[in-house]
Amino acid sequence: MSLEVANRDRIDATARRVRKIQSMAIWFVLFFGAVVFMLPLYVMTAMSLKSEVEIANTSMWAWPQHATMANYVTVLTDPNLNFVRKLAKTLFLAVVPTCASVLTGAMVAYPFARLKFRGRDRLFLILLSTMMLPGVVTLIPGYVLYAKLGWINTYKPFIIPAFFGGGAFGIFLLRQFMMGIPREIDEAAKLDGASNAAIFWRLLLPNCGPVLATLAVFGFVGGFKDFMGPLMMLNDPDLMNLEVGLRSLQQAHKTEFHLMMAGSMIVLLPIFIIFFSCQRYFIRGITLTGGK
Amino acid sequence: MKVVVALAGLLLAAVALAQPVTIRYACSTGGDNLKSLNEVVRQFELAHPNIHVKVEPIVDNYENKLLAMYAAQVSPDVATQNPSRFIMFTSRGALLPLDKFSDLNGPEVNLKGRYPNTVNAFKYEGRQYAIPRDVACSAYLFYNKRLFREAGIPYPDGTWTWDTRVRPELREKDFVWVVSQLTKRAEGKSKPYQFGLASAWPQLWMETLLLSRDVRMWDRDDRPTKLLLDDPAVVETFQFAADCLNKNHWMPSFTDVTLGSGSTMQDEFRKGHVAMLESGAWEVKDMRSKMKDDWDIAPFPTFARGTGTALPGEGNGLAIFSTTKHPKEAWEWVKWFCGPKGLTAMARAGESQPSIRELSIRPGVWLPAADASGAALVPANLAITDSMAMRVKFRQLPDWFSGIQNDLQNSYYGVLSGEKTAENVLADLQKDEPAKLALAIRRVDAPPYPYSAGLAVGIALVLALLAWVYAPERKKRTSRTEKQESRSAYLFLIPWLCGLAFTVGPMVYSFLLSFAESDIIQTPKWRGIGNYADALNPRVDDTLYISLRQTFYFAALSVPLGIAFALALSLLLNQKIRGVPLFRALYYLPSLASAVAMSLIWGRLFDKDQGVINLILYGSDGKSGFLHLGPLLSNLIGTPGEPLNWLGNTKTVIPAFVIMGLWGAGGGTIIFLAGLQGISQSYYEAATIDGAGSWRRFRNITLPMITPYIFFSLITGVIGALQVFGQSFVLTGGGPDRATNFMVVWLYQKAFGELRMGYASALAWILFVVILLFTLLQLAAARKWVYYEGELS
Repeated sequence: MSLEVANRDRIDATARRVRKIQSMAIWFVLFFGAVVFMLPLYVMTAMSLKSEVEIANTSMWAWPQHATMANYVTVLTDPNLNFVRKLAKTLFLAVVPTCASVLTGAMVAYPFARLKFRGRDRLFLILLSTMMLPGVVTLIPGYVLYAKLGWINTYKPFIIPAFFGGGAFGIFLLRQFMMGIPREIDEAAKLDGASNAAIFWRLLLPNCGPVLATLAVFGFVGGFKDFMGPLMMLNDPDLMNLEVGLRSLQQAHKTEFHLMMAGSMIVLLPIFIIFFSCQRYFIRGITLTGGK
Repeated sequence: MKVVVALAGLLLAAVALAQPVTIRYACSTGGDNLKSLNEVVRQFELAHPNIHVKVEPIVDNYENKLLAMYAAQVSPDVATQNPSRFIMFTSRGALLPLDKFSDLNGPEVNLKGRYPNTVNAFKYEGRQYAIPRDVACSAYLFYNKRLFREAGIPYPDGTWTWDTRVRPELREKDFVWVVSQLTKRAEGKSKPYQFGLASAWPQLWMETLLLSRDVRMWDRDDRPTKLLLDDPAVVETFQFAADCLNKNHWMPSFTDVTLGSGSTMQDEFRKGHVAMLESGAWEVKDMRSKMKDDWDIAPFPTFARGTGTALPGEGNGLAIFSTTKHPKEAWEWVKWFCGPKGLTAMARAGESQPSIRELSIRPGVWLPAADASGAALVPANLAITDSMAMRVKFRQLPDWFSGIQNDLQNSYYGVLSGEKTAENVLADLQKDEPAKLALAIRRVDAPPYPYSAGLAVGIALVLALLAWVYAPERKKRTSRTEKQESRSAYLFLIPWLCGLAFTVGPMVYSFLLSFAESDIIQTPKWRGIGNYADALNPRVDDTLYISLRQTFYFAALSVPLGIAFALALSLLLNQKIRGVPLFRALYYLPSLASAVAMSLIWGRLFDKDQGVINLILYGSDGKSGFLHLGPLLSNLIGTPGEPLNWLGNTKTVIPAFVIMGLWGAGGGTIIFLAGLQGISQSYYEAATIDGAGSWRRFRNITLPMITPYIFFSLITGVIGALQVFGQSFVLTGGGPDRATNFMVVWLYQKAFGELRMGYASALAWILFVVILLFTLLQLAAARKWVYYEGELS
């Protein structure tokens, strides 16, 4: 009897040791992978701390001999770049469309997930096919359309379309997630005489937290980093976002690496914080299967 | 009573007058120059309190953006114009002829006192459309005096000439001899450690030679009708240009320096690796602050067997848009900025040579005055900029010719890289380009677009779509509750249906546009299926096939690799290990960083000599490296003994893009992590009890359960890869030799580079069909391997 127990203990101990070694190995693989993944960002950081002369004369790998925050100060205070105002505009362009598209996206996903209506299957096919549509097909006519509406050089092309559900990808993810929520909840509510709007607002939406967070972060990051959109739709430098503003440091005959990298670092910070703090919800929010 | 009204009216008028008029001024200025410009604006506003100037710098694609603004009816009042490209605007009626202002020829504007070639460059059909502001010859030779002294060659006095061979008997009077003497090699090496000459960018080198020799590649500038590519002088000049780089190694290769190592020819010159640098006068300011050796500038030599003295150059002037509401105020700003006050301020800032000759030669304006100690600033020879400005030649080409001009310029790359001989390249061009020219001329004369028929087709398409959606339910009977549910569903769908109008509308429009020749400004012309036929016919344009091939190649490499990598990473990140949340964030971080900045960093990581990739492959001595992988790869690619030039070689640039893409795998990893966490632990427990090892558990549980996620990544990955754009746009601009001219890059170039919206729309639809085919294929194949849990049958 005691022999058996001792034996089991030994087996358990070996298994534990094997598992420990295994996780150590995985940890090291992840660690070295992360180091490699961080290389471009290391160069970015190093450059952002060097002066223009030091960048020209030293290897990009070298940690700055005279690390200086001067570039950050320049970027933040340069009246031509106007960083702070651009940051405010960029936040606006990231937050408002994101809120609008997540909300209306959920609204649109709801009937596709829960209700029966005329033309549903084919409309859903159309929804999926707009996901396959290359953005370039509508790029040119989209510009013409906005021009005819007088929306060029305003924020309207960013804000108003966000109220249209915010794209097939988000609607699709929302629908999949809603299909995973047990139907019994809304059937019970329906028997109690709740309207569809009430079911959506009171029951489904509060249960969609993870997917809403996922889409909000995707939307925020996309909006915050958008380059092509502002480049095409806006002309007024006072309206431009940071990404385009940074690009203006890269000129035809020379690129101001030191300032550009410092600016990029500042831009990266808020996105990183948001991602880091939201990632728990994030992964739970993506469901592609189930609920057929 | 009347008096009160009159007084009120007067008061209103006074308020209106006091309110300053805002003039929007668009320019391509950035960085430091913007500071000087803002100072000029401030001075102007002080002198004209009733006018406010709003500066709008345009960073990318200046002219195209400006033209798009004109099309959108949001053009600025005043804009900087380039003499070789302002025809894009005048030919579309976008600019105001300046002879409308009575003082155009007056002393204040002083057209007679300006460099005549720039003044004339801004004339179109006999009328003046812009006032030249500055002029810049691009063909100065910045030379390193120390290297001249070391080689025992006297400093150039400008009396030298060039020919396509070395003439040692002329010694320093022969430019080519000087270049060859200044090239220094170590014993037994073919590659020099010091080059005699470098040119700031490839087109500049080729065009300087062609212009200075007065060789023409087409017959007339105003309406080219014939290409002259088989002219022996063209062949000889092309070959000479290439030989300087590849055969004689007098000049560093462009791909080695600019694409290969993220350095610039300017830096190479300042480091003393290059004895002479061909570039423009705008370099002077940077040289003063960064060049350590003493240096000066010399004029580019004239051609020995000719009489022409022309040189390439840049310049700009200010024009007023015809749509302006305040022509008078706009004109005041133009006169100020192009007048002595504006010019002096900008010239003092160091980068622009004034177009008024008298200012250009006055010391202390453009030319440096002696400083407090009485010593003149370098370069001593800056006074030659006056005579050089007279030699600058501008060409006005119609913009329908720009496609052919692009082809001709692209051919420079093939020649200069040494991949093909000049004769072959030119013979190829001569085979294809004349047909393209004929086609371009025919396009210009095409009939107008049938609007009403187009509109009818558009409406028919939308109706057909509606019919398709509701066809299956036409005969279905619905109960009252079903009707109610349907109605409330549609209420929820309202936002998306509005959005659909914003998608379907442009799609239909783009479809109709694909049958037109249109710049979205002028009346579109009817091309029938011409755009599709041109794109699909390799004899007219083989770019579609090259571009599709490269796009497929990229997709075939990047999608499977990316998915495998993301999957492996997600398996690791799904373990219960300390620090996993941080790791997840770190792996995701690169895909969050600014795309522009990251591309620039990557350009440096792929650096031929300094980059980390080559450091691993070749080691620090450039020979051994990890497992001798580098030399092996070099042999494979066909450049034995040379480190790989990742972004500069047509064979390695796409693998390089794929490697870069792996850094964005964080996004895919998140999708897979979601999939992995959705797998119920009970499956694994059951399998472990049955004695399944970890591999079998992965093979039989994880993999099947995660197939929907792989499938989703595959579909979106292929769609994304077939639309790859950013890296090429920022890093390689479609090069080298069209190797990264992916479908969307090419389409963008046609749409916004040449404003051929009809053709670009046709390309977009071709791409759409390709993507659709791939997606349908994958959907069909999916039944075989994608497993949906809980799905019946």
